[in-house]
Amino acid sequence: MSDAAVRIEGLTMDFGKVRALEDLSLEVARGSVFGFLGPNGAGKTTTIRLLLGLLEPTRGKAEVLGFDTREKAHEIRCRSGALLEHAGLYERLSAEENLEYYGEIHRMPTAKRRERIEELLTSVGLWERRREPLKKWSRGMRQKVAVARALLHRPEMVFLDEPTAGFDPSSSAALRDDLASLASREGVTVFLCTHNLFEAERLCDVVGVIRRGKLVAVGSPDELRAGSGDERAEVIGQGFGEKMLRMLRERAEVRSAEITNGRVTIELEEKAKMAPLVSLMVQEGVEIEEVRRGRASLEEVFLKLMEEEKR
Amino acid sequence: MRDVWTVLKKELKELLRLHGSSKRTLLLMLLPLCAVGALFATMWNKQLLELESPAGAVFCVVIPLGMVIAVICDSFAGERERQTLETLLASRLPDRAILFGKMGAAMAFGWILTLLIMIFMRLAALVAKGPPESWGRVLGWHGGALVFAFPIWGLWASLGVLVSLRSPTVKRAQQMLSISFLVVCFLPAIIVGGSRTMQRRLGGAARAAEGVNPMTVALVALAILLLVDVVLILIAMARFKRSKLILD
Repeated sequence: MSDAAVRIEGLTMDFGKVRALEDLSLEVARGSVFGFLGPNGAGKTTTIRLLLGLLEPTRGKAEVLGFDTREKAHEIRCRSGALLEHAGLYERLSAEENLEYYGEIHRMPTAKRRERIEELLTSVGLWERRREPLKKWSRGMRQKVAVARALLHRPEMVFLDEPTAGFDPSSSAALRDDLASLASREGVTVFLCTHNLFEAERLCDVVGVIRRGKLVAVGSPDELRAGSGDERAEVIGQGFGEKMLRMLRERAEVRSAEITNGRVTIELEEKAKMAPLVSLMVQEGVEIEEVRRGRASLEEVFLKLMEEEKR
Repeated sequence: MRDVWTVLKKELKELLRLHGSSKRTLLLMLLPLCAVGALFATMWNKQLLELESPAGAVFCVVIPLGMVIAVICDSFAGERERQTLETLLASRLPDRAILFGKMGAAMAFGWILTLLIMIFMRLAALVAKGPPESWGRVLGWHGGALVFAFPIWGLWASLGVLVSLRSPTVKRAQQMLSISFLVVCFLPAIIVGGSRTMQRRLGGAARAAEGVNPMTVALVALAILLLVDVVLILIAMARFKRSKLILD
């Protein structure tokens, strides 16, 4: 059995004259959480549709769980769960009936199906309301049912397109924990499209950044942050002044220095040491309370990649 | 077959929730049928319509047509409009199960409505005229009409699914199907009415059929209907492409 749950080679998709995906090549390891990041219209949804065999690529090939998306799409769909762009729930039916329907579609035995529905709806706090028609529910509640539907038949692979859209912060955190444990405990591979970079940073083992149909970066969140080369420090204290700022900016290891919200933010050259800069500030009369050093967040890396592409 | 049954069951369940609860929906569906029964009793008394006649049979199929068109058009266009189609297509259901499940639900709905109308009309006939002379003849007629109703609803279901497959909204599908209904019903009449040659040929065919056993005529008609159904179903199967359904 191949180690890759998803293997994409030179995948290109044209809609008439519009190129939605260009020469996309990618591998997602089994049992990992892969985050696919990109602005609207970047090609994330098209990629999921291609991987589920719902669209035929113009060029290139893709395999999911070892099955070719052109030849064996049915096998892929049998082993996958999907929450696509829309929740895709029948609003005249109740949460229980929606899940029953998809459980029957996946041919789950009645007893197992009912047990699993209870387990999933209880975990998202909706078991007591399972018989209410969904049309009366909020977007977030429906989204929880849609996530439950994607996980219902214990698939090997889960495709989730913005799963926490409409969730409150505690529900988002709970789903993140569930997805992380699904991947680690049950070996489920999660292919997650999201705009939520905080979510991607917390949850994903590997992230891919796509823009205008092209993959512009791929790696673990740490690798991407390290690769961006942005090292920074934040100094909290009293007595910052223009003279001190000028002196900092004149140093070779400092790329830039700014005072924002009563703090000094310093962008450093790679491997620059912070201690000489701290002594300089103390000499200039600054009372330092705290110095934080770190790399750029995934959000900053993402925005930088988008900017680079524009240029 | 199991997948077809899964889809069919869900379609009928959704249909029963059309107006909120199942009870409310059933009540709202049965009320017009009661009205049809009352209308029929009046027509019977005025000797305008007899139940055991070709016109009576047409009545039983034409009356529920509006309700059935609404249901058939909802099959794919409704799923597209309510944004449930893509998730359904991303499931493990085979193309044929989705197609036949939806067609089957529309057929079953049409057939059940025909049966209910027949029951209401028979009840109205009992009230208006009393018991029939021969229950055997009546039951035979009803049985035959119900057998014919199957391919007729099959024809509307396949035609409806064909239209619904490509329609962006339910309303558009309903308009298209209503136009198809007018074309199917009135175009032959217009062609025959406007051509003396056609009238002569039709008259000749009718005279020739007078000598033929009515059962043979019925079987030939049934075979033609089934053939048309099969052709329409094959066209629907050919047009069912997941990639096109998603992008439409």
